[in-house]
Amino acid sequence: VNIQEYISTGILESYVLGLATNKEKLEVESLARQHPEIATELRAIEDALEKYSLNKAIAPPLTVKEALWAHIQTGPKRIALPTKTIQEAPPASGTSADNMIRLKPWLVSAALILIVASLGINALLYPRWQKTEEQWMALLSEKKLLAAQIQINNAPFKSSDQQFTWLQHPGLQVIALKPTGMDPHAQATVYWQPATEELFLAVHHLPAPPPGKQYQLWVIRDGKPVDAGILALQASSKQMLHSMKSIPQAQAFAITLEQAGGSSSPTLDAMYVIGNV
Amino acid sequence: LKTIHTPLTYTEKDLVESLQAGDTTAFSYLYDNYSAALYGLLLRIVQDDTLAKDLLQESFVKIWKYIGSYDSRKGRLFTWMLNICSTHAFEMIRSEVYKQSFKTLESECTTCSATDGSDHTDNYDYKVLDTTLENLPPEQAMLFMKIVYEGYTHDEVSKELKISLGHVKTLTRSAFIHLRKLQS
Repeated sequence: VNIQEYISTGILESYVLGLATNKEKLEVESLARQHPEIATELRAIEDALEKYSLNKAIAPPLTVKEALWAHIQTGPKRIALPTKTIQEAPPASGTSADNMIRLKPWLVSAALILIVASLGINALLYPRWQKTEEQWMALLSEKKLLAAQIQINNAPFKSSDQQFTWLQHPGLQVIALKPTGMDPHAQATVYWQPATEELFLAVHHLPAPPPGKQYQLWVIRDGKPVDAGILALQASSKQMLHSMKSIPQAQAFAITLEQAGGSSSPTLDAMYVIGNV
Repeated sequence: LKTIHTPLTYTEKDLVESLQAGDTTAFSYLYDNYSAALYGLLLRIVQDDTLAKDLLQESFVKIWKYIGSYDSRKGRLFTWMLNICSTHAFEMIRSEVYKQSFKTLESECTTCSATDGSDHTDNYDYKVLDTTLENLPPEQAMLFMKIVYEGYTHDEVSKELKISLGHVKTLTRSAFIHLRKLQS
């Protein structure tokens, strides 16, 4: 192996960033043992990453350490504990025993029972606590999600208020669009105010459009179909009135399924609903 | 980063030995000296301080739990800890819950153009806090961000940026060489 060439491939950086494959890892580790240059280079990369991270350090809130400490002191035993034995306390000698309160055997047993019971309860409660913590995390994320959704939902609510007022204006034409046979349940209603030329569409039922397709509303004017706007892809909410194009005159309205983005003339054999004014 | 909480100082070898023996004083020292570096990293990955706080705590629990399996012959302790934190944070940003809340936030922004179909955002504005990267050539800075902050594998970067895998690796090296120069 040409060491310099090997180093220049960037494999050592991959290794430090945890991006090397298992095979590459073994290779880097074995080469680092054989070639001090590789070991030195690895160390330099790691040092750079550490220095960079320390330069960009941001102190965490103090509560994290407190919570961490509480966790560690009540948490489970660590995995792969080293074999080092904990130094045993020196046995109580006769002289020091004189200074100690003589413990009654029943007191010792009572204390032991308490300890065992407390350990048992810990063991019982720990998984539950852990589960609660997980649920709490999930709830936190959900809360954020909901907060964001509320803001979005507010917008349609405001406009449905306006829609309601608009629907009460005199002169409003309500045209029910009936199924043509493509889908017996297809149904939609057009709300049209000829005075202001405003046009709204409510879809009661249309089959979900296949990918790449979109429904398009047409107005038949002087016997010719004219585009009256395409239906938003995510038109899922039945109650919503969809604002369409301004239409001064109309004899009929129809909806066809078209390529996403709409067509310039309707595909007549993909007409789902139609209704005369 | 010297702290007053722990007057002790350790060599890395002593620190590892004490940690592996279950010494909480050593763990406190480790936390005091490295939590800020790791918290900064987590913040830059998840862009949310509540989430970063949780991830930091969980990562340190992992560090404490698995310190017995850390092998100093395979690399430095800090590298090992950093990898634990990044892996944990990348799992989070790839989780459905995180993606959902991210998408919701994005759809709130009416001026945003439609997504280009990738799961990752290409908007780095909020990462400008990382001023060091501004000194890197743009291609290297972009690569560094994708790998270190967005959890891209070399393979994924290679596909997204349409450059060969070998080139991705050498570019990563160039970015590191730049960083090393900036720090010396």
